[in-house]
Amino acid sequence: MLLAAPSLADPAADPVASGLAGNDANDAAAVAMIELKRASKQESAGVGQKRRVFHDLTLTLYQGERLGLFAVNGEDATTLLGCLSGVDPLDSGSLVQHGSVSWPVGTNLTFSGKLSGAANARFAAEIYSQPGCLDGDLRLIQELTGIGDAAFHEPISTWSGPMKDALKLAVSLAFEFDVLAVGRISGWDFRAIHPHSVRIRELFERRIEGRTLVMAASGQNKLALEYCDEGVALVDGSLLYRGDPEVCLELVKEEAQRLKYERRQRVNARVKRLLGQDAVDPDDDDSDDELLGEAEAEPVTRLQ
Amino acid sequence: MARHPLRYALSQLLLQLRIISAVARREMELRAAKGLFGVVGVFLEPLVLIGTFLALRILLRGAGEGSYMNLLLWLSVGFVPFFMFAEVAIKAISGVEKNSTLYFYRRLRPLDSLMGNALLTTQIFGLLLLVITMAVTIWEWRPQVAAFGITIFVVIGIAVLGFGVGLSTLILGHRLPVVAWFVKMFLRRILLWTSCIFFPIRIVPDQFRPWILWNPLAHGIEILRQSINPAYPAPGVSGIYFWAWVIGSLGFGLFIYGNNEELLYSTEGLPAATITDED
Repeated sequence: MLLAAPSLADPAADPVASGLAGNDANDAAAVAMIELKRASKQESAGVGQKRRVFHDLTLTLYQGERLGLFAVNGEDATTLLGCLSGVDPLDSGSLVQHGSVSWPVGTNLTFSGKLSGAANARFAAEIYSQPGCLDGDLRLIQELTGIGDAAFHEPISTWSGPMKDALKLAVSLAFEFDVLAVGRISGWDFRAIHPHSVRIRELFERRIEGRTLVMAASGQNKLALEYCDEGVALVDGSLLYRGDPEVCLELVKEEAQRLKYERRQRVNARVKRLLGQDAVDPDDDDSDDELLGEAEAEPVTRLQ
Repeated sequence: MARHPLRYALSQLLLQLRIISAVARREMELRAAKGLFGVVGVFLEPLVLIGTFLALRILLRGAGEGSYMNLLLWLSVGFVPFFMFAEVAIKAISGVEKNSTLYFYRRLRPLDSLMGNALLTTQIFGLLLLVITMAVTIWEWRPQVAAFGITIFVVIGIAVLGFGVGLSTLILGHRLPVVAWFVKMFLRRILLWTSCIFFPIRIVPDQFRPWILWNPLAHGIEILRQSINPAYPAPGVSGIYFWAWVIGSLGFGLFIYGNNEELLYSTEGLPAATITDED
């Protein structure tokens, strides 16, 4: 907060004051923290193929809001979060951030497998920690990961997956940001009563207290419902709804069901067309129809 | 959160320095993780060339120039700054793509990583130069360098010149890829022959001196030698020309960097894949 406050575009809006005012998004004094305008993003889907993640999307995140991103495809929510936090570049449109925005918590692309956990953590701390807090932050990171001294100084390419996840989470939570962007967190169950999980939970709650939160809900719906006051449902590349997170979750689930049903219908129709009306037992294709996409359908043609 | 503007500027400056040194330290650790060659490999090329010319001098008694100062010092003052210049420039040209994962931390801008790499390269070659100077001092048992201040400033100037040239090339290379290719080739080949590295400027005949003296690096290196021994003759060499190049290249590089920073964040380069829209 200290370092980021002077970069606010509007000097009249005091981030501390409005942060203390609570989570009211409709507050007249609400300050926009992230503004995404007419943004579009495509992702590669195979060789030479592109898939639309979102198109012409306008989204504003205000000070003190806790927003969950719900999407039919889990990757879409993560990509949108990456774009909001500025880690992923947009194809078109503009992104304006006021104050400091974290990278997606729980992920880290900067870690180098050749360097030790201590060196990787130190690099992050040198960039993000407050002046004079560097050693304390490093101790905090090591404590949060729960990794012993000897292993902490080994290159992280030799570490196990859960250890790496713990380090990613610990490094993300060690610093203070105005906006906390939460990506897919693995290795932490927020409901667990293990002292270590409780410690992380306490720190997480302290980091979002009075600040802004944006979270990708894919794969962690429970976490998102617990901490988000508001949600957006991203369906077919545009915002379908913004409001109650439970409604968002239902909408997204319904849309996923609908897509699944459509896909099943399409595949069934195709198989029926190829094999004749009554050749296929409807119970038979139940097990593998989800896997049976375009590519799987091709060999059937050749069989005939 | 009213704060004193001077204090704020100072804290930002300290943060900037901390970030740059963090990048340099990380680069050093990455090189050290490669094993012994990762650290020593940088020294290899200048040391091999210095050794070759030393051998030529010893065997043929013709190459190089030993009458104003120790031959080894004379050669290293040519080769080490030259390789420092080339290394800094090439690191700056290719540094952004190599360090693209660093920009995951949004507080770190491309310029920071370039400056960190340049700092590390300057430190390494500066150390090499210092070690050689000390070794020669001990060998001859008398002080070698007459004007330390000028030596240090010109070495830093050469590093800054390399950074400026590299930064300008990086940005221009994003617009015109051929520029980056050409400058990389130019740095390694043409400059090696026109920078007064293994010949002094005074043995070049008058009418051919302009062929050498367009090169700011030749000026820098001859000024370095003059700072070691003020009696060293360097006709036609101008400090103003050298420093004008340093400031000009850095200023131009920073100017076009400021206008084109966003270009550097896109790691994918030019769009190659065909976009198929389902609609």
